[in-house]
Amino acid sequence: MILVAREPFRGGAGLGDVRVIVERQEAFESFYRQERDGILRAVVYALSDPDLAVECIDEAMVRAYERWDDLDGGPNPAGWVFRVAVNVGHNRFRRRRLERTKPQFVAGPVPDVDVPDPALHRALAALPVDQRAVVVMRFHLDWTMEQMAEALGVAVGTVKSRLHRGLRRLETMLEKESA
Amino acid sequence: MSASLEDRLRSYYRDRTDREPLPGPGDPQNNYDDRIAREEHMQRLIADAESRGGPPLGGGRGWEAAPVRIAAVAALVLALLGVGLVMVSRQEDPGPSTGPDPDGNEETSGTTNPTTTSPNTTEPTTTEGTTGSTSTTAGPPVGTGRTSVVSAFGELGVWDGSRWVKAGGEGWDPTAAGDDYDVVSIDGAVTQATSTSETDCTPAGDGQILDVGIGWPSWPDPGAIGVAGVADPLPRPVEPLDPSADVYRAAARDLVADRGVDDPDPEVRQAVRTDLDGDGRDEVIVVARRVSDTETFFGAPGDYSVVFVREVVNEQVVSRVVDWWTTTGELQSVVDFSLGAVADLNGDGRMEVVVDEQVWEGAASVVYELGDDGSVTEVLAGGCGV
Repeated sequence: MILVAREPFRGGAGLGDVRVIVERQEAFESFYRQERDGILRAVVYALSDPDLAVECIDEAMVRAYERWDDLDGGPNPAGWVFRVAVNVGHNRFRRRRLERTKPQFVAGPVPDVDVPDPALHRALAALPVDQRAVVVMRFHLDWTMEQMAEALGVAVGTVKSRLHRGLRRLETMLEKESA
Repeated sequence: MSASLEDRLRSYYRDRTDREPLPGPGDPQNNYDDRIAREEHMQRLIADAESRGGPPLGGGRGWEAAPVRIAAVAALVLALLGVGLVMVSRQEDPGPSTGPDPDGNEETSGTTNPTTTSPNTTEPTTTEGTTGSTSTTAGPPVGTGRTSVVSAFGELGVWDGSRWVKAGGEGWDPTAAGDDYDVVSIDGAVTQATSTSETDCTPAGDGQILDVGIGWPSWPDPGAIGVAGVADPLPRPVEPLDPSADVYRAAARDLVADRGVDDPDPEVRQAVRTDLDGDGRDEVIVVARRVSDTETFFGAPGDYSVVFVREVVNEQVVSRVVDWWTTTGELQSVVDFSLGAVADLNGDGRMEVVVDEQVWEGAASVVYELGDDGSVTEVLAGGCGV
């Protein structure tokens, strides 16, 4: 932590400021170590694009650090990072979409992995990202509806509705595939 | 939802977690070299964020001056590593690179080749009663000034006096809030609005966009586009037509048939008449579609949505496709078109066509420029959602 004290004084910060920085960094460091990989895995599942997920989690972590004063002690900072990472991915998808003449609005590339349930894997990959994100939050991260609502910044009812529609679409796709 | 699907999902994610390693550098707790590589990558990411002028940091805590910020974040990275500066100087592959602004727009030019059909109809009219053999564009005025185009999704881009510059694209200089805009609605109304700065559409709300009071495209509400810097964005009237007219349904039926879709009964949503290029001849812009499932918005095979222009070329009425979507397989989300506006957005006297695209929980506005040569060029675009 000595390194922390080397630079801040250029901006006119005092020792109190340095203490704030150190405490802030320690808190974020702990969060980063505990949560980063778990969130990354969830973002991989939500975006269906591992490489993009790595970029997005880094971007989201930088933003989390920038806003750490507000996030620290909040109800679900991991949820905030997950949401931001997915939204960064959303925007990448959107730009990719707009780069094409005709958008398709399907998920990113389905990773070439030995998946446990290929039919479900394909169906999940065809879900809109925001619906897939709530599915991931519910069934991978095992978050409650309240936690999901906090993470998304929306009402619980909205989460329930989004999850219901996502599951309904999944069921429809699975039924069609099995037929 | 069924319990079996819930169990299946949990099992699926549990199995994937057991099988798949994380992408990128490995576990920072256990893999020392990867930790360095990843944190170096993070430093570069932060430097990129700083260089592109990201949002202010720290919530006004008094220590957020940029040099402090950079140093503090860099020190954090080192602290995460638990190593000294000498270790950080190693030049290892930082992993995937990132774009300059994950929330910004990138240049998205594209040109489509229109398809023409030759029906025996003459529904576009000649307002000057001429019967010239070939349509000609009215001469100048040529756009010479800068214009700014704003949709529900913020500034789509500008006309810089000689070319279109897309928001986020090379050479784009965002227009500041406070300018006066004409808001041209597809129903023919032109109102005035002063732009304000609003939070962008991402839940994180990290960016700011220009707002001139245009709501998200929501059919059947009339669409609109805002433009500043054009003396007369509606140089010729745009007349709504009865979309149920057989002539437009027949035109849609023929057009989609040329594209391999058999639809004996197209749903024509919109039809408007105007003189797009100022040559004295009217064109008719038509929006048609077939969407089988309007509840889940899944596109079934053969579903489509199309925007096309009926125009007189060589004494024949032909169809020029502006925007087209169809399913390429089952279970794709529908892309539903409607006319956002028809307006002159660069001051050259010709009118551009703005197409609103609605999808499942998302929407976009796309500006198309129609050339004398039959070309259709996407010049600006922006949207939000998935």
